[in-house]
Amino acid sequence: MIDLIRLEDVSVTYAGQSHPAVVDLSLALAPGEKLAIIGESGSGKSTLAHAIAGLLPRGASVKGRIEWPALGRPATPGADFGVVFQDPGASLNPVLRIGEQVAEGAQRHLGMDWRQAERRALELLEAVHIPNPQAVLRAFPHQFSGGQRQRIAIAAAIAARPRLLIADEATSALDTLVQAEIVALLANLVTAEQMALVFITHDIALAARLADRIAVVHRTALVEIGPTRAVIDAPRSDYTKHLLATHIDLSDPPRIGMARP
Amino acid sequence: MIVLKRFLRSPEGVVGFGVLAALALLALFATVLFPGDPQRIAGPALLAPFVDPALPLGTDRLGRNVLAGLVHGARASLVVGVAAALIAVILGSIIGTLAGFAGGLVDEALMRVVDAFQIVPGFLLALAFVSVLQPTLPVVVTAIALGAWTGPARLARAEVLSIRERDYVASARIVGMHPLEIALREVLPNALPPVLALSAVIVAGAILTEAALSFLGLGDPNIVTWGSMIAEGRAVLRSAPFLSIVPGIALVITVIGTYLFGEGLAAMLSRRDRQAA
Amino acid sequence: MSALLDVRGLRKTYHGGGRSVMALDDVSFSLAAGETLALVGPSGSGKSTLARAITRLIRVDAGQVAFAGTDWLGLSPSGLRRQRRAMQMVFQDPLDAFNPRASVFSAIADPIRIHRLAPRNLWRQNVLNLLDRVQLPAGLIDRAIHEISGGQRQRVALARALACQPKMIVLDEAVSALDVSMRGQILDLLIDLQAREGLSYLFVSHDLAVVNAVAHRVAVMAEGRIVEHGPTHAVLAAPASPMAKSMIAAVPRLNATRTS
Repeated sequence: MIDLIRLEDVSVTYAGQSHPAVVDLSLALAPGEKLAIIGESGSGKSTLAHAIAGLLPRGASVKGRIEWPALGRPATPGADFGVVFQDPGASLNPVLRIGEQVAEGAQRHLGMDWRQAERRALELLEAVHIPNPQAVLRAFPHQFSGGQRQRIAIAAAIAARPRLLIADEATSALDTLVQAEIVALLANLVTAEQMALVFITHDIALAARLADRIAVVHRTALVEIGPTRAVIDAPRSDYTKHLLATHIDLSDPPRIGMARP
Repeated sequence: MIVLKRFLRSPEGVVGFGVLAALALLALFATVLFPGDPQRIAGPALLAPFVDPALPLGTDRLGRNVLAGLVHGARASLVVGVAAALIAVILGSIIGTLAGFAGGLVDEALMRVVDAFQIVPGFLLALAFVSVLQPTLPVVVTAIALGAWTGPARLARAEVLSIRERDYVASARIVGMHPLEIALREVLPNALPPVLALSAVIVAGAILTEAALSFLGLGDPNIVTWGSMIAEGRAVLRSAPFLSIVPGIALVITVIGTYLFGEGLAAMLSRRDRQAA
Repeated sequence: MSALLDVRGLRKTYHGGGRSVMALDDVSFSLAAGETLALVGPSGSGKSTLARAITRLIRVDAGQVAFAGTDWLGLSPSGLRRQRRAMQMVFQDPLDAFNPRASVFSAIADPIRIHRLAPRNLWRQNVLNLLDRVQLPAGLIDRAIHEISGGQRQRVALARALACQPKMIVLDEAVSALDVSMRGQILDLLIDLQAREGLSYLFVSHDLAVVNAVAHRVAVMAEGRIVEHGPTHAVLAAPASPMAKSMIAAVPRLNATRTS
């Protein structure tokens, strides 16, 4: 099967910085595959996502190749891929109504007229389990909680039926309950719509729950990549071992004595 | 200092500073460069610029040296502009900060006062004030400040209100800091930089307002200002347009220079960008 | 042993936009010396409001708080400022918790200066001792807060709290913003300090795995009320309330099978 995206020796250096944010990174993503990219702050994982999405700031230099073999041409944002960010405020415009924003992708890339796009927006809001979608179409982002805004952002990102969804720390600002719901939603959506998913996170357990393959990024380099179970059960890189060792799991024994003093 | 380097990195700021520095030097040495009264007759009337090397920019209707008038006029513009902006910023900051800290009725009352002053366009307010009192320099400065203080007041209040909610102010309270110390050490030093950046724009506006007042004949009649020079040139606009254009260009350069300096200030005082992950 | 902190019947209602929200609905609990009580719940459950109400950052509508034998809510502003150092707080965002112009030294020396806990010529030595207690190198003392890493900042925040010589520290999502590999170190530091100095912690968190690691007891909050509480291991092993059950089920485990 032809890869959806292929990155070869990609290096990114931001304007005004002497050190690159990402160095010689190569990886490939198959259509419909769920890939988790794990790393800590400053590792370069977000830079990688921005490079794929063409969202690097002005002046950033990119070496290496980013290709979309399955498309045979450069990717169009919205039509070929959608992005959901950590802060729903970055994806949603506070002064536009929800309906407009969710329908925009369908209007622009699927050539739908306003009525068709509105119907598509309703479908999408139902698919992300937003209650009362008809009323929501005319509402504004500030009327919703963080978790709901993130669902709406996901709906907007997949409106034009893209082949790939990039979620950049999309659940990091949400509490555990909402995070679990959003992760389950993402897993079901990408399977139903046959999309590939690139899920960036700092939480290795979350990645294990969601991904087919895990890529570990540490200080600008890709240090390990492989099927989820292989990376979790038999990590090869020291850094991955370190991440697994320092992960605090619910089933770990407590660090304090259990008796009350 | 790191702050200075940030200023130097902004080309607009450096250019603006250069323009203002040159102007300030000219104004400072006006009496050295052109001793005596700039309003005295220096040569034949309506001499064109670049004809007589002793009168590089020519003379006006009464034979007064245009260049001398220009340089002396720089004094008036800068003094009035800076003084008015200073008063406006200080007065506005005090009132805005008071409102932001006090809250409740005091805040409401002060904001209604701000509203009242803001409703009247600044220039008209200055006009009315100068018309009622004598057109001396202090009166002109006060008149302009009256119209300009509301901007800094609102900005200072908004900054104070927002900073009061920040975690570091909460931390200062929890650690047991006295409210006065919190105001002076935690809030004000972080609330005022944006107001400072605004002050450059206010200087630009003040210079323009002063020129407009002088143009209308409401400025101090005993000193030369660019506005009065432009007004003088009106009568001979078709035969000797340079009389109005030259001081006009000086005004434009000054205002742009001030504005660019303000941009540099804003760049210097802006918060550091956070590292991208 | 009587409790260090005893909270009875706290109520707080927010009014806005024509609606009223009960952020705190008759909340009562106690905290003993040397103990860690975790407050868990989803966002909007009231746990952060509770933390701020107890530290008197916000006012409550009703209720009593007894802390170290005093009527905590009844203290006058000047009385509160004097006694406040016994109850300190570490915030979630390590960067925003400091004055942008602060240095490591100034941040930690503030309490010493304000409460006159040492003569001026000993301030620097005191700060160095505190840096040592939170396992930070002495060389950081003159650095600006924004120059050091997030984990280091949180340790400085802890040092600042310790400089007050507190009996109790409220940790409001104190490790949530840190890198995963940094969290364990901070938790170990907290436990170590507690064992050595008998500190009490009120640990606010939405992360049950962290709570399991550090807390003796846990109180589960939902919609402004405490819906379940008890020893941590008991609540996590056999949750009774729907909220506790949902929260436990929502925690991602390393060894769970994938949802697909």
